[in-house]
Amino acid sequence: MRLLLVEDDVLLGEGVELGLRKAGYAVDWVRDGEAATTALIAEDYELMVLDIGLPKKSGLDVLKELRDSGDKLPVMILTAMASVDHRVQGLDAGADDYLTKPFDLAELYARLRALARRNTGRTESLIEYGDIRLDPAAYDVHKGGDKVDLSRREYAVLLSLLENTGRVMSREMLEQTMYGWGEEVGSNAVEVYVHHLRKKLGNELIRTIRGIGYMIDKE
Amino acid sequence: MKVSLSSRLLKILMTMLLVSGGITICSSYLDAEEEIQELFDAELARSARLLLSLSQAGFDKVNLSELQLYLQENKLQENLITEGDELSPGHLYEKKILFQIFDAEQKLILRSDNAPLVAIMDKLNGYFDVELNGSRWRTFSVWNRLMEYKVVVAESYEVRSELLDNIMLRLVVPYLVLLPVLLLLLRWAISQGLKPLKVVTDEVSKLDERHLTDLDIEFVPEEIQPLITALDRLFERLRSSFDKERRFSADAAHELRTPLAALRTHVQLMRADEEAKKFILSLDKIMLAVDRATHVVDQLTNLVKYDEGSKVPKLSLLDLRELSVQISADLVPFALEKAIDLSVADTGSMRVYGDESALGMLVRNLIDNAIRYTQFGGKVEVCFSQSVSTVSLHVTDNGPGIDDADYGKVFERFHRGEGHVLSGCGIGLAIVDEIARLHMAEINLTRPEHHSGLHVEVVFNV
Repeated sequence: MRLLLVEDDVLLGEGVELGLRKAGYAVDWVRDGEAATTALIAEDYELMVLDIGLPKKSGLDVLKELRDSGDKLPVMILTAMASVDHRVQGLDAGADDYLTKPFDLAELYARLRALARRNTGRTESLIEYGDIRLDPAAYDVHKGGDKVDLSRREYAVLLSLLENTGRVMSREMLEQTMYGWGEEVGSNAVEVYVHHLRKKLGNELIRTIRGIGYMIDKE
Repeated sequence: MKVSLSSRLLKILMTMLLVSGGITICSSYLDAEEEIQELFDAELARSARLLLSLSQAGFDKVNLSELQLYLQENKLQENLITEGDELSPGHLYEKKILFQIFDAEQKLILRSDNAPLVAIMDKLNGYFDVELNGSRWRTFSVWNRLMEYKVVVAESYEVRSELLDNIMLRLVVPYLVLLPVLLLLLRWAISQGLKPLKVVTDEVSKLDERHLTDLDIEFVPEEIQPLITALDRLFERLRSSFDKERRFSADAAHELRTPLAALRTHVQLMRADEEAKKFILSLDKIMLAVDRATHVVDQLTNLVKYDEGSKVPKLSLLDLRELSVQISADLVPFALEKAIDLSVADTGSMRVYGDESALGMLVRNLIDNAIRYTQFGGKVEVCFSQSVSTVSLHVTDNGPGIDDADYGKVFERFHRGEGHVLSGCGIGLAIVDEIARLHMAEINLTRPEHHSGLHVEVVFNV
């Protein structure tokens, strides 16, 4: 997959370039805004990782020109500007995602994969966690090869917990994911479904964080 | 050296009053003295001439010795102290006035009862001072034109000096009585006059170092205007240097992000490499160091963000509990790394007015701090309480707590308790303090009742 990396800092650029190559991308690395625009015209890319503070032409200008020309190339902004305002500015200019420095390489990989996936329309993929396998396309769940019967709401709770492993989902957040699945949700509904899920999939799977919510640990 | 403007003014004014009063009294005294001398001298001369005319007119017809006897008999009683009564009219001063009359041969022919038998003055015409019975007398001698009789009248200087003393007393006493009254009046007048200074002082002392606005004083006296202008200029300079300092921190934090990102990326690349396996412990430590530096940079950015003194937060009604749940959810992984039991009490909604992102930062820093400074396997509790007019957030941990001596210092920037090995950077509570200040909330730090640790309470007015 061809990727254009625009980063003016040599130290960071080298690291990211190397990392992305290892992750299987064919990386072209340019160090200023004008070179980025030239590269975008000359070559066909499937992804772009773009810094904002660049010599000659700012990353935001590069992005705006790209969008004005009707190009829908997925763009990940990588910048030291940490404030919410900057983030909104970047997203408004047409960025698809935004990562602040310093960042985790693993997170960069994951976000880039998500971007590429969104672009090709494959939004839902098989989720595997330990011996549990969830297939969003088929709405079914297997544990150790055996199919587990789950209600739609139990499924919704499990899906959002598995999609967010390592993060706590508050009761309110889980309730919201269930609204899309039918009727009104009672006040203890989340507790009830978590209880059911534990019975069907094992007690250790879902962790309760008192007063805050539930989570499934990262694998 | 401490100098009081009002006592200085008072000293100067009092000195001037004393000096001018003294000069006035002295000159009045000298003036009165001269007038009295003139007047008494004139009186003396007139008495002498009267006696002289009488002698010329009648001495050849009178028996002089009878006349002298008559004078002796009617003399003022020695023991008469008071001014004469109706039966024997007279005056105490009479014995201080005397006369002698001589004939052409310088023989004493007539004298007042108190006059000596010898000539007190043998000079010719005019005024002379003589010594008589131990006191000074003023004399006036005059001959008649034919040189038949000479009249000498004398008056003790005591008469004059007593009069002068009286005058002096009348001048000085009221002045001395008035002096303390004047002093009080002056004090009052000075304090009234210096009132504008106090207004300026009050106005300046009300200023917060983060809110250095220009002074707003209604009636500025001309004399103080330069001071106020100078202060305003100083504030302007301070403001700009505060701004510079803020920008500097923000810029420094910003500039550190890219090198930190590079460092992190390269360490992660190495860590993923099979050949670097034997360095894995060191690499992990480098990552920890990078995390710590990143935390400092983040906190600096936050501090600068909420430190902008004049910035008024965007207030909206929000649920402090819901916000705390969201923030806690983010921090759970961090708590789990240390096996810390983080919990949020399930009270109903706790509504306060606040800026969502700022309050989120406040809650995050309190919980983050509690987790950071609590030992492996510890406990961090978030709960709430409310009264009629307040809503309070409580964050309690069972960590080591803080030393008594440190309670006042924890809000200082980069202050950290002594000797700990944890990963805080000492800005967290400073940020909390700034945000609480923006929300006019009060922060209380106490030791939990039943165990070690720290209990932070933030009281919001609703």
